[in-house]
Amino acid sequence: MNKHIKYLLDNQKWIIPLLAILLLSLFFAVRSGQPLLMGSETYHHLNSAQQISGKNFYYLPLNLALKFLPLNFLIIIPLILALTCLILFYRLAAKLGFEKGFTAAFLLLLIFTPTFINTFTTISAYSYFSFLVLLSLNLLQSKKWRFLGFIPLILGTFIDLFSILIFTGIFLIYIYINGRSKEKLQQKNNYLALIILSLMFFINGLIFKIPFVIGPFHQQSILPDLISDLGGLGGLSLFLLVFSLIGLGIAWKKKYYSFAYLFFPFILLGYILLSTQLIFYLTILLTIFSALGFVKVFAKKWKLERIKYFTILLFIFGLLFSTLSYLDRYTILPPTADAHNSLLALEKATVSGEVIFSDKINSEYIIYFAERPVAVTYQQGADISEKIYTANYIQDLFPILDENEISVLYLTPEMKNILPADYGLNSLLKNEKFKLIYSQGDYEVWVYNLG
Amino acid sequence: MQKKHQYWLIAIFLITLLTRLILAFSIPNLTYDSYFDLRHVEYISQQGIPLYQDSLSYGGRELIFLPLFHYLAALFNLFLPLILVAKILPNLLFASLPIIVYFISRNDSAPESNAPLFSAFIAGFLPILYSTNSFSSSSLLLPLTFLALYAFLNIKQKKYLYLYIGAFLLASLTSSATIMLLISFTIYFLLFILEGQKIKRAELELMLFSLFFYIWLQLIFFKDTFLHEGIGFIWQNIPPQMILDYFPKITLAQALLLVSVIPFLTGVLVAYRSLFKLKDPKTFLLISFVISTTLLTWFRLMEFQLSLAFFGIILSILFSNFYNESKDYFQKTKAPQAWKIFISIIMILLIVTTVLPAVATASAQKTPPDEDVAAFTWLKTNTPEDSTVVSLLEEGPLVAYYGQRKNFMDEQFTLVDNVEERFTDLDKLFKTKLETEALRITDQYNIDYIILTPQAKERYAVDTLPYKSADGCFDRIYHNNTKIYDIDCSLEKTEVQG
Repeated sequence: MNKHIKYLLDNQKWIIPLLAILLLSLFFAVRSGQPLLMGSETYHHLNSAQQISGKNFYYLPLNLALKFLPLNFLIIIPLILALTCLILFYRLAAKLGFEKGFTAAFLLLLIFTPTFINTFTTISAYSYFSFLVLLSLNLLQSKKWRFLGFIPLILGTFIDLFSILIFTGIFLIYIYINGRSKEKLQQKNNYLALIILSLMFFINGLIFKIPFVIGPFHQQSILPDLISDLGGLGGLSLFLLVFSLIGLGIAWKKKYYSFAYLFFPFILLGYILLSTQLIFYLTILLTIFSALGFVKVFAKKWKLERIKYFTILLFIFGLLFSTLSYLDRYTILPPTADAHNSLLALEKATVSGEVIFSDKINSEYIIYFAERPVAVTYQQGADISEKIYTANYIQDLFPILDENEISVLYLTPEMKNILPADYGLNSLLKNEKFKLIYSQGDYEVWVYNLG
Repeated sequence: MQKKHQYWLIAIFLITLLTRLILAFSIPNLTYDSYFDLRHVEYISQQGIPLYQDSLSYGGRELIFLPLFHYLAALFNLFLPLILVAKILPNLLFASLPIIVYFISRNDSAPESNAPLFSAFIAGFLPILYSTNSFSSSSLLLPLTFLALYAFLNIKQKKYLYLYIGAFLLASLTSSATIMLLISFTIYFLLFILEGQKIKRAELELMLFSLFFYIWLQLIFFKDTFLHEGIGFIWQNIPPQMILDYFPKITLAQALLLVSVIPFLTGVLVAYRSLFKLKDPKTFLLISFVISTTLLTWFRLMEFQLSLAFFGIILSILFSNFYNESKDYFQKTKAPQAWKIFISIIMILLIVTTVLPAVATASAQKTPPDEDVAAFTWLKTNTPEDSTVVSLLEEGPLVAYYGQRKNFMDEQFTLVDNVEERFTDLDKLFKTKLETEALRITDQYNIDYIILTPQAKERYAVDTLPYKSADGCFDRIYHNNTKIYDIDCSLEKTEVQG
């Protein structure tokens, strides 16, 4: 084995987490001058944490963080989660006897996926979930602290119902692998954990009304959300997808990895039919297959040894290219500095309680930065949005605004791109009932005289 | 190679080249789409770099393309005038196909067989390849792809490994349609698995390398296109109204005529025998090619003409199998001498079904007549430099090449916003009877001139612009059979006047 690869495999426990932290920090660094935390999901959680109640008590840690840390300092949360997840994964991998080569390949490939980067540079439910699952499994493995393992296990069930099912699946496999454990207490705990998970599925679904899949927090599109090179918010590189296809063909030959097949149809169908938010799970699964494919292809001696080195180089360049291309887009993901300024201006120019109309992609930012209620979110108001976007006459537009008590319209460059320039909303804004109170770049705030 | 075969092969090459050049020079000008590539070659010759920020196409836009063919033409342009390069280079490249086909068709166990010569002849006169006045990258792509295929089939020898890598890299830099080669490899691999056979390790390794290189190169060149158009990049942003032109519904008879009847019938027979009886790896690979081109065309991922060209060449290669098998068959019968009669009949049929349709295909090429070229050239000296000119879609490259003015639209649709709406507006400019509607469009896109060629008149069944009225908004400034109109009004002005 090449001495560099041997060194990497022997020291991966610190090299890969360090690399991950450097990579994630690079993504934060390119956003300097604008809010470091991006994405609707981040602000959805921040908004929820600010409105903490008995029903969303699980936002308490974030609520406390918000009270004591300025917004940009909150980047410490995803960074800590990423680091602890990687450390916990290594601990678990060592206990479960994962092959060193596979572990290194899996984590190396994973940290370069835009899904991982997106999840661990934002306040995201799935980064929290990963941390809780890994913590729970680690604690349940230990002799001294195993009773504590039930706490993260229960907390992890508050993300969404789909995640509980995933958690249950992971646990079933975990029990199967540990089936030979003769320790009765361990076995008891495992079954207890399963019972808790089943109970929480119903409690959270029926009492806490937790959604089946959290989100959505962005405009969903199946292929671009899967393949980052097509412009999705997350996803994975085309190169990784090729390896995952190879891995799909060989995983059945590997003892424990064949379990991945059980998850694959379930997650893939969920991704296609329910929500592309599930890209997090799909990426992890596809990266497992990719790592298997990668190890299978490159660990072997090739007949054309020089071609092998060129192929490895192409793969590395390809992966880096996809990641850098994502980095390039990352700098302009909302909220940008201009958007941030316009939202602060929106807050100044309006009074508390005034309902704002904007595209659903801006809803969480408006609530967080401008502290105003919105008429349209990802979850509600699609019909209002449709009516306003397609209104051609004031007789169509005014009743919708009046009915929904919308007194302010917040327009962004993205909205202006969609709206026709010479008719529709753009043209109706010339009416005397509208007044432009803020305009900077392509960001505009219009006040509507209700009634 | 036998001396006799050498002479025959050189003769086939020269006859093919000569026929092609005679046809190319006897037909005036180049096909419409050629002028797009011609302009880019001209730019590379002058500036040394490709014109990725095209200020004339669509009034100015970003246009990314794979530049190898253009660089090759620019190289020839160093010692030959561009218009000669445009007529000679593609025909020279197409004439090289019989040589490659000869080598692919050659059977080492029967080196004296004349079969590869027949295959070479068919490849030299395939009607589908007889767009002799077309200057496009497919003339380089086809020889490179088949060269890569030839090298792949002989990968055991080191020199062929390098040949394969070289040919594949160059093909990848010529056209994105090289993906067809990769899909063929995948199908080849699957056919092997289905047959329960083991594929050679070296072949698998090369496939993986090729796949990664291809993806990597496409990402480098077309990153923005992928991000801008998402999965739609596959369909090149072609407006739905145009889809049928790119992927026409063609009858079986037309397709047979373009790939020639005899190679088609013999190809089907050989494919059947190979798949179900002989299971020969070389034929497997060729059949995989056919399946992949069929699939790509079926899903409208590859232009129909190109797909048919690949199909035709593979049929010509498969013909050599037919030749050898039928010869063996006749040797086993009681009348082995009947073979000579049989092959003579086949030869006559081949000449009739390839050469004649090939010449007919060449004669049927659509090229702009000289009077149109004169009109487009007139734009260059008689209109302001930054003016925008509307023409038929296929005439867009002529506006940019001869007129050196901004065109409203051409057939390079990638990265163009609202292409469907633009296409509809273009259609309206020639069809509408309402001057206000025409002015709304000319205002919206800042159009200064409209050129009405005989082709446009025929297509829209008009003799003049339908909305041209006496108020002088559309002033005729070029008075031949082709007409050029200067747009003097805008809707705002008209309204004020009204």
